[in-house]
Amino acid sequence: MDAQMKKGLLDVCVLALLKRGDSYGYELISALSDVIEVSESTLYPILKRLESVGQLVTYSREHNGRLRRYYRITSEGKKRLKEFDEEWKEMERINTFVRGDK
Amino acid sequence: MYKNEYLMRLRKALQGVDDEEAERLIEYYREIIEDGLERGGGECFISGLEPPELVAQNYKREQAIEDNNFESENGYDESKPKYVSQKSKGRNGSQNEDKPNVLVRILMAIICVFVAIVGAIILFAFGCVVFALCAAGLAIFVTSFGVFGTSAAIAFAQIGYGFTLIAISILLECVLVLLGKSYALLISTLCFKKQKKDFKFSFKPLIAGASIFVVGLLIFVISFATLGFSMDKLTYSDNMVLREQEFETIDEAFALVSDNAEISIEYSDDGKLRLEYYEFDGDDKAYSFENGKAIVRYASKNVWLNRGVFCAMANKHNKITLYLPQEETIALNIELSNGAVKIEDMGFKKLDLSAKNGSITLNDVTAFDTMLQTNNGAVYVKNCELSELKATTNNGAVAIINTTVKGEIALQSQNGAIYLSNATATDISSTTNNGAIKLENCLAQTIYCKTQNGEINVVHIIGDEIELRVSNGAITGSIDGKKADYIIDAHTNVGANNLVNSSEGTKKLTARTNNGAINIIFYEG
Repeated sequence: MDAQMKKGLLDVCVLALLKRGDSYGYELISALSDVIEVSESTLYPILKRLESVGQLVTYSREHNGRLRRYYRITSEGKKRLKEFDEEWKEMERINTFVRGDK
Repeated sequence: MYKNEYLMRLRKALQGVDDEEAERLIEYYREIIEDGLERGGGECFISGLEPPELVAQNYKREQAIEDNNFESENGYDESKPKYVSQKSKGRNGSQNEDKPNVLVRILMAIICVFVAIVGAIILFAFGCVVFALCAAGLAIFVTSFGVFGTSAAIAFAQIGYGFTLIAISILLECVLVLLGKSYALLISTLCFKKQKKDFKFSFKPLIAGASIFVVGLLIFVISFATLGFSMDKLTYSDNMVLREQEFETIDEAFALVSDNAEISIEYSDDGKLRLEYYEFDGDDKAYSFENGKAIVRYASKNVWLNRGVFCAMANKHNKITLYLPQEETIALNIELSNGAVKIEDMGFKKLDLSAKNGSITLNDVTAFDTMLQTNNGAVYVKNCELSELKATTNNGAVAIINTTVKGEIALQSQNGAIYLSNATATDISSTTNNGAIKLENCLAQTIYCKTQNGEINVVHIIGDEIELRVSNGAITGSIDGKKADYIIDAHTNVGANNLVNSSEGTKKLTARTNNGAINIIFYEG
């Protein structure tokens, strides 16, 4: 898969996971690896970028005597998901055209 | 591979990356490894991760792409022409912007150091105030228990007062912490261009402080209400009594000694010598008579512990009134440790007043020999007629105004100015170490002024023998008399001198300074 496209898809995958509930690094990777190939070092810059554009926020919570960083989706992030939905419909149209099904 | 080894290698591989960024990435991996181990992944989990060197490499590459995007976004900004971006990229212009020239950097460094020092001083001073308030509150609270024996209401009022002070110090402490945090933020942004984002403020201590404040205030108001909101009752204990000591036989000399009191002196209506003073009932007696001296001592009474802070603050109980017969034949001697002495419109045979910490004031007083002595305090003598006047002070000024002395005026100060106006005597002598000396319209056969640091200024003085000596300072002013009458000995090491030395005359003028000008004129009329 094209790297740029994959990056964009990973963005929305992370946001989609967070829409179901706040999560942390390990859990995100476990859940993502079911649908898309992702490593820890790929996820990190994605989380960082999403935070810097305000689509998610982070907070720390104690777990087993240590701090764990949690991620929470923002309204901006939810807006991004909706936009993706619209974009996908367009992609589907393009895909139909490319296949020449019609 | 163990967790720590992995993280250490990662840290090493991240060299050159901004500290805070690297730390965040390491934390991210630490958390993931810990979570993985917790799920039972064991060491295999760590081995399954990408090697730390690769992680660091990926991170740096990502970062470079991000930075590039940022650059090109800026480059296509409408406000900036495209070529500017290309040009700056060509010679690494972005680095140029990050590193301003040396002068600006030095200026910034100076500003940083200045802000750091000033801020630290302000915070420290504020912290001292907070500490002092808290200590005072605690002290008041602790001493309140001593008061229960005499007055529960005052004790409770004091407990409330102590509480309120402690609460105020807690509230101020909150402000201090907030100031400290913003200060640290300011410094970190100013000096390191970094911002700590988790800048949280806890309301818990504020609420605690406010609650203690309310409780303290309530206790104070309720106990003050039981005293009928009377300041007198709060500052005076109910069992405070006025004592009277009468002296039947007056042997012409009366000596009063006290350690800490406000002394007032009046004429009595019945012609008797009487002493009135306040003391607490049931205490050891404040008054005693020893070696021919009437002594009123308060020091042994631990006012703070036994009477409470309000009584100590009011200090009204240390009030002594001395009633004297209306004859001017008494030699009065007062020795006071703390407090001022003021005598107005009275006459004495002899006056000997000494106050360690306090000023001495004489107004419209007639007396023969007068000795005034104080360590820390000023001496004022106004509208007096005396036979002889001696006044000494260590720290304080001496002022003699409209006063006639038959004999000698001798004034001495260590640190303080000396001022004489309209004073007449046979001899005037005034010496001080640090301070100026000024004489206005003074008349005496001999006038002697000497100061180490300070100037001497004389205005319309008349004298047969005038000696003005300064170590550092000028000598200026005017003398009423003919210049030709004076044998003049004037000398200065540094500065102008308008006097010409002369050895002919019946009177004598000496003006000498090591460092300063001499400018004396004569009014010959």
